[in-house]
Amino acid sequence: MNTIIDSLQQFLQYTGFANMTWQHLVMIAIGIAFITVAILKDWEPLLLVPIGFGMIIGNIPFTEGLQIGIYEQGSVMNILYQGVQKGWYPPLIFLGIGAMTDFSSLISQPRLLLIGAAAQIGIFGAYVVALHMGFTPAESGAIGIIGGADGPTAIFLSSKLAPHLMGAIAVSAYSYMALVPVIQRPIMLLLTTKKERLIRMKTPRPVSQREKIIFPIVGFILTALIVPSGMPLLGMLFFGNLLKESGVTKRLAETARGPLIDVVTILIGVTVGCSTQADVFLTGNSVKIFFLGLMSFVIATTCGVLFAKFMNLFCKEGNKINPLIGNAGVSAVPDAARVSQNVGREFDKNNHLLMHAMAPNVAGVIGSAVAAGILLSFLG
Amino acid sequence: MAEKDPHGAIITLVSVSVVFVALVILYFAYTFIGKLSSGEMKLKMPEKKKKAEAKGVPSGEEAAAIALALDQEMNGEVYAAISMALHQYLNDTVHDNESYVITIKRKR
Repeated sequence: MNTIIDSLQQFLQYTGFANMTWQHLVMIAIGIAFITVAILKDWEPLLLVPIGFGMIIGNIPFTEGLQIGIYEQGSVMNILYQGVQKGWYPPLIFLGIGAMTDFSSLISQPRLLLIGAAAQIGIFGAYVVALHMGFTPAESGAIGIIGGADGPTAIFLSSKLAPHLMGAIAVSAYSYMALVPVIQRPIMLLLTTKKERLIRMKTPRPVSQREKIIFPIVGFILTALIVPSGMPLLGMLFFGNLLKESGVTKRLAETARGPLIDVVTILIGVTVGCSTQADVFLTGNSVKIFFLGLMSFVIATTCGVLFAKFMNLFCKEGNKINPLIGNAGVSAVPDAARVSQNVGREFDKNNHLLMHAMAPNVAGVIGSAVAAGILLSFLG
Repeated sequence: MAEKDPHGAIITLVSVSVVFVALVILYFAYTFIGKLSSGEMKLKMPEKKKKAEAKGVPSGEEAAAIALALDQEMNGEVYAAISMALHQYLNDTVHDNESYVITIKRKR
């Protein structure tokens, strides 16, 4: 009889109930909140559902030594997490993004590239503030990249510069990407006049197939030569786009933008979610990172909108830029561009800004990868 | 680099500049490619032109001159005669030589 009781007691010690702390409960609640928001509000569901469920998986308490935790060497979750830790999931995601993105809008209006560059100031604004809040330069760089509004880039850079902060940085980046409509709209309205919001932009010229093929080759060579440290991201982004536009690799392009990116998104989402174990995640630093991430987004959006207004000073009448597309420079493809479209239509139902906003939006992807490369060169 | 820049100002300034430079270079590259592609800017290719001339392909100016000469030579009556002849031929009502062969006399 005693043996049975001892066995039961031993088993109970192994259960999650026995090891549960309030921190675990908080993290599980956050995970459920992510899933709820993704389903009810349709905010980044492809990312928030895997991350949310990953948070629940990662915060089921267990007794160490069974090789089941994400931080236990050799466990299944640990092996899957290697793709995040070593930074090989983000370039694969970029391959898929390249294969699914149409860069025509950018090719036909290359001047809008500059808005994508201006929005990257948010990264460096957060970097400076993070330094003053006591983070090391490498940690500050990893935190600042949240302002690039690009989850894979944030994971790639934080895996190199501050792996111990990666969970908080990734969750922060994806959370704010999901909240893009909420964060950006008030800033856009605050910084633009009614007259500016009504500006109708010139229809972009049609782009030939030859230009679309030249675009990724020239784009990669030029950007990689300037910032070789951004090569994994830039290379895969432009390679994916070449697969799409070459016209002779349709099967590869379909795999890259379909099954491949889906598999990697599932793995990256679940493992990043798992990495937010309460003992690692619920710290004062995480709160600071969330604050800095928000600040970075706000600065990036502000700089994008203001730079569009600045460019208008040099544009002739009829060739002006609607500053409502400035927010799209932060990347977050295509949600930020959708925000431009929706806010634009609030003031003129027939003014469709989506096509124009896609140019700074995809420029933001290139810009954030370049910025990540620069930070890696300086701080890595 | 980071050790010499505790406030991050230099890294920020340099990094923002590099991002802008990279994208400005892309801007110039794509503007140039776009202009080439849309025909706003044409590359001079004298050798190709010479080859085309050697093969008997008329240049733009020559084609325009030929078109003008033909236009001056032909008048409405000529067009009407050709149209009538074609109409009759296609309806199989003309057999001036033999079936399925049409003859149009030259205008004098």
